[in-house]
This record gives sequence, structure tokens and C-alpha cells, in this order.
Amino acid sequence: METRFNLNGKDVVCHQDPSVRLLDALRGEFGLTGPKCGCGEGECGACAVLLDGKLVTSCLVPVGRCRGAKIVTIEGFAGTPRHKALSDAFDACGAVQCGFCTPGMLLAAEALLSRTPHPTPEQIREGLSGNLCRCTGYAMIIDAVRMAAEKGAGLW
Amino acid sequence: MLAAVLIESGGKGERCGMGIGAGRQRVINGEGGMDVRPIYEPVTRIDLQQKTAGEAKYEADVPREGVLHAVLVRAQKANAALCGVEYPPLPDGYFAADARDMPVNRVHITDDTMPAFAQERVYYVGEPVAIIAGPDAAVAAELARRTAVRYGDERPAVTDARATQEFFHDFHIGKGDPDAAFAAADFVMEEEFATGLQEQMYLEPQVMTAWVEDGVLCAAGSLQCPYYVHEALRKAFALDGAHVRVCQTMTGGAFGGKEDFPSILACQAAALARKCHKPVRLAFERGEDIRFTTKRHPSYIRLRSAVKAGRVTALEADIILDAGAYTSLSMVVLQRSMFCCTGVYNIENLRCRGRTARTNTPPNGAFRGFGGPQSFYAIESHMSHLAKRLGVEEAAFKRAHFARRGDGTATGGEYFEPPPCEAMLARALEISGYAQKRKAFSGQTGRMRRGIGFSVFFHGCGFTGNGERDFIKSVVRLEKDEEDRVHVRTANTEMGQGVLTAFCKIAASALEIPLEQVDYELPDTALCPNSGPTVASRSVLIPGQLVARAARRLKENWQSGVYQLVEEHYQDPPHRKPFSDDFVGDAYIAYSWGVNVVEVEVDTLTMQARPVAAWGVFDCGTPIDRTILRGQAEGGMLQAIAQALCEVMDVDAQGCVRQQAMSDYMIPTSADAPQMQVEFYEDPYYDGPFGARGAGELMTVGGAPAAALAVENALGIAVHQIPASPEQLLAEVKRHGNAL
Amino acid sequence: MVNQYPRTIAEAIEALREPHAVPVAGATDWMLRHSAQDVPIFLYGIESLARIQEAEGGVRIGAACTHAQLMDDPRVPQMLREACAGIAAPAVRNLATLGGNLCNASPAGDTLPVLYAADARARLEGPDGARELPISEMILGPRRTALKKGELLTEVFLPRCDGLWRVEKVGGRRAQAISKCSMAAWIRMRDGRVERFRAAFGAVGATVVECREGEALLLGAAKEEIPARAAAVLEAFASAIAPIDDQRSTAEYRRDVCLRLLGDFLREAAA
Repeated sequence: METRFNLNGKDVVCHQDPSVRLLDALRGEFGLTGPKCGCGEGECGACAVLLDGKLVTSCLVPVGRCRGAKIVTIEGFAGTPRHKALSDAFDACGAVQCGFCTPGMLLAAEALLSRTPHPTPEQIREGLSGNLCRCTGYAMIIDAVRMAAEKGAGLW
Repeated sequence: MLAAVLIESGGKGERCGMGIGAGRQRVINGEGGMDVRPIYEPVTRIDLQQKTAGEAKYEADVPREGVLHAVLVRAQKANAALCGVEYPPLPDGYFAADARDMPVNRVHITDDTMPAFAQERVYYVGEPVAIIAGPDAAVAAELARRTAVRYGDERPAVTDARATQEFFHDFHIGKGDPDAAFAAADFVMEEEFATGLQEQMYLEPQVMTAWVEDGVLCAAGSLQCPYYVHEALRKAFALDGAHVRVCQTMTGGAFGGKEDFPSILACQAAALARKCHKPVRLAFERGEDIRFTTKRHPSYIRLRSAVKAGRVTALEADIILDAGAYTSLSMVVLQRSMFCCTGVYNIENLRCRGRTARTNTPPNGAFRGFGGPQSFYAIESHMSHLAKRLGVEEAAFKRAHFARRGDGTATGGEYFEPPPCEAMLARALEISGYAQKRKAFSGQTGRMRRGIGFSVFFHGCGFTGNGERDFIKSVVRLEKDEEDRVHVRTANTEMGQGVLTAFCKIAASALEIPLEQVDYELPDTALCPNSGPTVASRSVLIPGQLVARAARRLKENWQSGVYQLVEEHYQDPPHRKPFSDDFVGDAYIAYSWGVNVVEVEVDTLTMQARPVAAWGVFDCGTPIDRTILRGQAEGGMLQAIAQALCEVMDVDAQGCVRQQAMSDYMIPTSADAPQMQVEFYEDPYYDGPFGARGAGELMTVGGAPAAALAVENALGIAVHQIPASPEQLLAEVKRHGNAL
Repeated sequence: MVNQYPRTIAEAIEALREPHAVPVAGATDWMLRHSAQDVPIFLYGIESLARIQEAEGGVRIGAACTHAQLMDDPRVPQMLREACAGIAAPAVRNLATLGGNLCNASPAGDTLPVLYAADARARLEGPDGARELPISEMILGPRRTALKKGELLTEVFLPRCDGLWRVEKVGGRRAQAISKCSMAAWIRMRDGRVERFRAAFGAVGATVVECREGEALLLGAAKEEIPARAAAVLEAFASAIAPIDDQRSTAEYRRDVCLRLLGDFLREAAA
């Protein structure tokens, strides 16, 4: 079974059964280990990717659901000006500790800012609420997203 | 590569002066010159780029040639004789191992009592019986399911630590004459406190890979203590140290959960790797990780105090920790609980008994705070309740009991530095608006009610007792290569807390070179000396100080373009009173201090309590990096607050954890986290690198009592059990006639 | 070869003739419990299933509308939007659909109490044509629905619910929580008297719990008469609510909290 989709800007063919988790296809067939498996039930957000610009937990997405879609993982997002703005803000605010939630957290921030370029702290909390972090207590991450929104004005 | 030690290790007497004095870092500026800044100014974390780009490789991300995926066969009974294991026919490429494959079927933790695989009896549901691995994890899992384990002599499961007489440890400490004080008391107040299981819930589940390479048994994985794993493998497989190698892979959070547990995984994976001559990876799924790995010990603490003329004159404490089925680290956790039982207070007469109860539940182990949070929850609540009973203001009552310089600790040691509790409490109450809020929160009606509470606490840094001197004996090494790059070699692991950046900063600052000239690679026992485990809030204080000393020595002897190596060995600080076998003396090398204030909002219909804001004032000496320290503080505070409010975990009649998924065990999301404000009381510690002391665990010690007291304030009821779940609070409110 | 990517409802119904065909919309539930033989029929390419249309007396919602979509659409009654906002977190709401929530028929399904309280109707289409059922008749029990093999839930009709309403979700945290219990309650006054009163509770029974007798006790009451009747209403609901103990909460807590929430709602209605 073949499923064709666009992955990080390139058209690809995935050879997995359509019921296979997108997460497993990304990590296995495509060698993209940025998305992590933290729970396998859509609770932790460590596997989050963008599907047609929307944040999704790739552990709950069957490969078959991706036909014709555009998938962006942290590897595809890295290197963009938006990623740099977020990464710099995460640095300045101390929003990275163990790093396991970081790829998903950055993509959640990207999805949030794409919809809401100037979010309130409450909107940031809501936008990141599916991405668990056990290290930071979240305040520094919330600060970082706000800083990225301010400093990266115009990027979103 | 390792030439002879070129520079002699430093002797005693040269240590002082290193810690005191302002640390300075050299930072390359825009013009290519160098700025000199205080050490505590934040730098970019060394692992920042790889983590934000998704390039950081955790063990499950590392391709290892020919790796087999392993699954454990687990016991289905809680307390039964193990009569046999029968495997289904194993397809080509699939292998199994069990107790028979262990030269010494014991995993060394603090003792050698836990088997790698159950042998004669199983003591908890889920105890590993065998390991099966092959190219496809799903096939291995199916083979594990089809493996028949036969049992006999089944006995009832003991799941309540209060209902058993089987204790692993039973310790006593005391001082003064408590009987006389109780006899002379105006009144005696007795209370019982209970705390529940708490799951570390590091985001990266446990994972370990083992293989044999050139006759050396190797293990790599997500772990805190490479040399613990090293020793466990060495002992279990009867090897000499040179034939074991352990490497840390990038670790996605640990919080104590990867202190002892990886030693077990490594022994299990290694048993099979040796048998099938292939790398074997044991990676837990989340559900398995929640159900079968070590957690914070549930505690049952009875406090009884004698009060005379408004002062606590004596304390009696009876502490029971639920150890689970094996000892694991329970002995040391219990000791810390006992040594904290008087809190930050000077109570001259003390009697404390501590026990670890054996139950048929998965063994409990290390979790940030390590016995401290349980005791501080009890004593802080108890002191507040005493103030209430006396009709005096809580802060004043606690303040009047604060230990001062020269006062005795619970173990008859001495607070060598002046405890800064008074100034820190004043500051915390001020920035939180505590007094105004207490006033504003009285007489609330309405559905949502606010409450505010505070706690004062310490954490003893480093190993308990003489552990650092007699047991760990840290060694660190600096190597300078011909290009004048400096490599920090220690066994201390980066798990998010920032040790990688902190050690590089310490070395660079002492060497007066830019950070960019210093490297630190994740520990590999083949390359790094044993600087001890990354536990007990010891990394900065002990190996960190050795890094500073080594760097200063290297600087003094610096020869450009030449390979140089410096090694430093641990020595006790001069002030420390040795600890006796019957627990008398300085239980810890140094103390870090904290005050927390927590404000909660309770929905009086559902009784769900939610943290609104939290304040922390901490004294960890001079921060090595204020941003990293703030991250430690805020993350730790939230873990502690959640322990008191929402992280409910319990076991069923068979001793099985009932909350088996992230959807059942509630760690806070960003929508649940309070606003936080953190300040540091930066009083340099004389024997820490640039004045720094330990920080990691302190941050999780005080959040729970402050949050529990805030709930009491909001609802006007006493809380004797955490987590103060809505279920428990509603029952309590109903017991009080539902008068809300 | 079965068409796993239908573009129309008719194509989907055709595809569902395949013996092991399973209609898959957001897939968030299916991914956690599918069996090896399942042949997924992906519905995300059917535009009409993701449409929201205003209609006489209410709104027609395509079964494959995601929770994120419903939350953001001003045509959707606020009551449902609020219930959707309480589900999981953004990444899951971007996938999971209203139809999925219904067809999974979990007792803890977060949109269900609203749909019950508002007397929503489900449109089922199959090889033998279309039919409409009240939600309460479509859902039969935990993970059991009235859908026949080959039938597809295509649309939900949600009547306008004007008046005083309240949606409550009680979970262990503010996001990513499976409900311990939940409530949707709704009162409409006409000429100063209760004309309509509905209350539906989630996660406290095999399906959403309603209590027609309890509701009837309030009909015709003037505002000031509501407090006097509240005790009888609560008593009626108390006997209808049949929760269980599990790893998330206790039966006692669930029952108590449902009644506390309903009591509070009635106090608000009387105010």
C-alpha cells in the first residue's frame, strides 16, 4: 500500500499500511526522530507535527489519513525564520530543559502564532495545553512564546 | 590518550577561597573582544540548538545495528511461588532469558536483594520474570503474552503499609529528654498525615540498550548514574570494571526516576544481549513505565508535640514509608525523611522512629526531594495547626521556632551557616501580598474561593552522612588538548537540569576563558572518572566544586599547545562533623533553603483546587546561571504543588497501580500551571564553586505543604492527606455538615 | 478494490459494503483500538460531511466537522462550542470530530450531554436510504449505537437553545482530561414560567443520564417557585444517576457533584 504526501516540502511515498501511526512512519521509514513517542495516546504532545498547517498528535494519525496532505515535522520547521525566532526566545527565556517536549512545543507555538499572532497569556496556555512539559512549570515557555510573538513581529 | 597526571591533585587547606569571591565569566562580544560578566548571568544552554532543531538523539532515536527489541514477561500474581516458566516456540531470530541466565541474579542498588528476574517467588504483580527479544517488538510482545508462568503457594497481597508488620528498616533517632518535656507540657497535640504515590512522569519513558563489543559488556540509555549501572552490571555478570562500559544517551527528564531503575533494565537487557550476541533494547511504553517503575514513597507520618508557654518543646515522630516489594533506595529515603522531621525548627527534644514497610507493590524509589517532601508536608502543616490551636499568627509562630546558627539539627549536627529563614520568609510574604490576601480571603461566599498558604524548608545537599567521603569519593578530570580546548570529564548526566552548561561555565570561569573553549560530552565510563551519581542535589556542590578546583589548577599550570590533564578528588569541608553509625552528627554537608507561598482557588461545587499563583524565595548560594536556576525552581514548585492537588495515584487489592495512562494520572498542563515568581537569596557558600550550593531537589520540597495550607485557608478545614483530591475534600466538607 | 477515499457520501456508503470496512473520520479513537482486519474508509475528503449550515430552528452540522471547527464557528450554538472547547487540547480537537464523539458512544463523550439536552437529532444514511433519530435513540450503550452495518452518520441537527443554559465538565485538570462527570442543563422561560427544562449528565451511567420525571417537576414553575421545587428535582435525578468507582473518581463523588452542579444551576435560574 502506498500513500503519497508532502513531507517537509518534498513529495514522498510512504509504504506502510494505512493504519500505521504517522509517528512510526516518520521515525522509521523517513528517519525523522524529532517527533517523540511520549505516551502513544495523544496526551503528551511530544509527537506533534503540522498536518496541512494544523497541529496534530502524530501518534493518533493513521498514515492513510495523510494522502495528499502536507506534513511538517520539527526537522522541516527548523531553519525557517519563524523557527529561529522561537528558538531564540526559548533560549532567552530558559524554556528548554530536557528537550523531549521541545519539538512538539515549538510546533504548537508555531500553530498558535499562525492563527493568533499576538496571543494573550491565556491564549498561549490554551494553545500549548496539549503539550506536556514536566521540567519547566510552563511559565518560561509561556514567556518565550510571548517574546517570539513580540520580537518576531511580522513573521506570523 | 590518557597520559599520566601532569598536575598533582590539590591538598587540603587550598580549598577555601575558591568558593568565596565573585565568579566571573568571559563572554565574546560583537567586536570579537571579551566582556567580563558575573557568572550567574545566563548563557545559551549548550544543548539548546540540538534540542530546538529536533536533532538531539535520545536512546530510542539512536540506530544501533541489528538491535533486537525486547519485552518483559511479567508476573501475574502479587505474592506467590514461581514454579516454572515455559516459553512458546521462539521463531528464528527471537531469544529469551531469565534468572537462569544471570551469573548473579541480583541488581546492586543500595544492597543486593532485588533479583533481575524473579526466581523463587514473585512479590508484586508485574515483577519481571523473563525477557524476550527479536527484530519485531510486536512479535516479541505476543511471545511474552504466550509465555506460561506457573505459580504455587499463593498468599494474600499486602497493599497497605499500615497493615503490615514486615519492615525492611526500623531506625530511631532522638535528642534531649522528650519524656520530661511531654510530662511538663501545657498541652500535647497529635496528628497523622499521609501522602500518596507520585509518579515522576519524565517525558521520555525508560529505555536501555545493551550489547557486547570486543568482550566488553556495554549499556547505553536514559539514565542518571552511569557508575551505578556500571557497578550493577559488574556485579551481576561477575566482571571486572574494565569489561563493562556504560554510556548515557540524551535523557528526557528523570527526577530520580532514572537513578536506580536503569540498573535493573541494564541487567535484564544485558542478560539477553550476552546470550544472543546482539544489541538488545528494552524500551518501555508509557503504560508500562507508569505501572512498573519506581515512584515517590507513600508516607504515613504521626507527629506528636509537647507545647509549653506557646513553644514546641518536644516532638515525637513516627514515619512509615511504603517501600514496595524490594528495598531499592528506601533506606536512604527513609533516613532523609527522618532527618527532616523537625523541619526548619529548633526543637530541642526529639524522638523519631522510621520504618519502611514491605508491601506487594512495585518498589518505590527516588523522586526529587527523596523523603523530604513527605516530612516537610507533615511538619509544616503540623506547625500551622499548632499556631491555629494557640490562636497565634502562623508566620510569627513559625518564626519564633526557626533554627539559628549554632542550633542543633535533628541528628545533633550543627547549622554551620546562619539559616536565612527569617529574611526569606519576610520577603516571600511581602512579594505574595500574603497578609492582605489572608485578610481578603476571610468570609468569602460564592462558588470560587481563594486561599493562601506558605512553607519554610531546607534540603540537605549531597549524600547522607559520610557518604560523599566514604562511599562516593568523587573524582573529576579536566583534559586540555593541543588546541587548548578543555574537556570536562565527569560522570554527571544532563537530564534537563542544565549540568552540562553549568559545569562548562564553572570550568570556563575558573580558567578565565570563553565558554566556547570548553567541551562536555555525555558521560561514558570508558572516558570519564567516577564523580558520583547525578542525584541528591550534589552535582554543582561536589563534582562542580572539583571542576572549579581542577580548572584553577589547570590555569595556574597552563601551557599552550600541550596536552594537560588535571584530576581532583573529594575532600570533606572543614566544618563537617562526621556522622556516626547511630545517626549523630552532620547528616548533610550543606543546606539550601526555601520559602514557598501558594495561592489556590477552590471550586466549592466540585472541590477541585487549582493553583493560581506561586512564589518562591530560595537560597542555593550564588547561582551558576540564574535562568537555569529559575527553571529548576519553577519546574520543581509545580511538581510539588501538583503532588498536593492533582496527582492522584493508588493501587488496587492486588497492588496494581490503578492510574495506568497519562490520561488517568494528571500532571499539570500549561492551562493548569500557576503564575510564578521566583527570587534568589544569593548568599555565597564558602565551599561551593563560586559560592553555589545544591538546588535541584530543594525546589520540590515546599510546594505541597504551601498548597495544602492554601486549601485549608480557602475551605476552613484541615487537610491531613495529600493529594487533597476533590473526592477527599468533598468527603471532608460533607463530614463537617457541608457548611460551605 | 474498495475505495478507501470516497469523495461523496454515496461513495462512502458504497465503500462501507466491504465486510470489514470501518468509517474513519478523525481517527483519534480508532487508532487506539482498531483491529488488524479493519479496512478504514477515510472520510476527510468528503466536503459535505464537514459543512455547517443554518437551518430552520437550528443548525445542521456535518458529522466530520472537527471540534476545533465547531469551537470557532459562530453559527454553532455556544453551548456546543463550550463543550467542544473542553475536549482534550488543540492537537486532538484538530482531528477529532463530532460524529466520532457520537459513534464512539463513550459514556464520557463530552459533546453528548449538550446534544441530549438540546434534543439534537442524528441523520444516518445507508444503502436503504436516510433516517433521522434523536441522539438518545442513536446511542444504545457504551460503544454501542443504532447504526446498522453499512450506515453512516452524516449530520447532526442541533436545535437552537435559547434561554439559560450551563455546560460543566469536571475533570482532573483544565485540559487533556477525561471527564469524571459532566452536565449540560437548559431552562427556557415563557410568560414568566418554566416552559422547558433539560438536564443531561455524562460519565455517570452507561449512557448520558437524563430524568424526564425530574424535569417535569419544574415545568410551569414561576422563578420564585423554583427553590421550593428544587429538592424534589434533585431527588429525582439522584435516583437516575448511577455512577461507578474507577481510577478517575468515585461513584459517591460523581453523584454528589452532579447534584451540586444541578442545584447551583437551579439557584441561578431562580435568581
